[in-house]
Amino acid sequence: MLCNPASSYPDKIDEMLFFQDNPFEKEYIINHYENLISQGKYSEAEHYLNQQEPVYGFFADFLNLIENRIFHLQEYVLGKPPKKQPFFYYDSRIRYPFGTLRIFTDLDAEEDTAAFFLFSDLDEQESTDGLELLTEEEEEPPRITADMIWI
Amino acid sequence: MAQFEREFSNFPNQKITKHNFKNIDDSIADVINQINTLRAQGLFNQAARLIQNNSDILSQYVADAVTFRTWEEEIYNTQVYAKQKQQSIYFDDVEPDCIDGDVWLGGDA
Repeated sequence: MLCNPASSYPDKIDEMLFFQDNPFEKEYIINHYENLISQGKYSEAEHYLNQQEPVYGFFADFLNLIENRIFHLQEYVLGKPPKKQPFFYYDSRIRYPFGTLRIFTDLDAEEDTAAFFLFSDLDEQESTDGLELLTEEEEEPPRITADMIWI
Repeated sequence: MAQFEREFSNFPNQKITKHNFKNIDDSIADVINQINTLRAQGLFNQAARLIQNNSDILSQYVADAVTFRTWEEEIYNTQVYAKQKQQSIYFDDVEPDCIDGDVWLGGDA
């Protein structure tokens, strides 16, 4: 075989063949091959070539190598996933439940929030459960990934 | 954005059609010998017709201009497709040459 026509892409990058003219020391191979071809001994020429050291030329292996590499590359790019919609619109501010608040006096003494009570307009005591402090800080959206853009 | 070329290639609708090339052997010898004989006699039109009439068989043995043009077009279309498939993110005040699905951050507020 003159070269391996199979392509391993994308498992690995196919090695470059560096197609080139044959060196002088291999000239006799080409000459003998062409001599057999000119005599119409095609199968003998093919057999002879396969028994020799690899030589460069527009032989079937080389042509198949090119087509196999194009085919595998096309197969690979066709399998790539579609473009993502990276934008994630999320507009929410951070909320602190009332029980988590720490309140300080002018003298930096911490107040006991358990002693705080909430009253309605009718002076009836109301529960502080569910009471939250809404801040101006923006809340980071849940489930955002590294390839998303938060707006 | 570059468009797909459609003279020889149908990618991405279809991948390249492989020839499965073979080196010339005795099974095709008769046709090859006839072609060579006609050429040697200067009968190029007859040689061309013989090639045309046997194009199905010969296509596995001969890489001609159509073969190379096809490869070039397949590679070109693959490059166009890969470029379209890859998502690009632009940071630019002026609207760039985006295609569908790209991201452009910038412009006048």
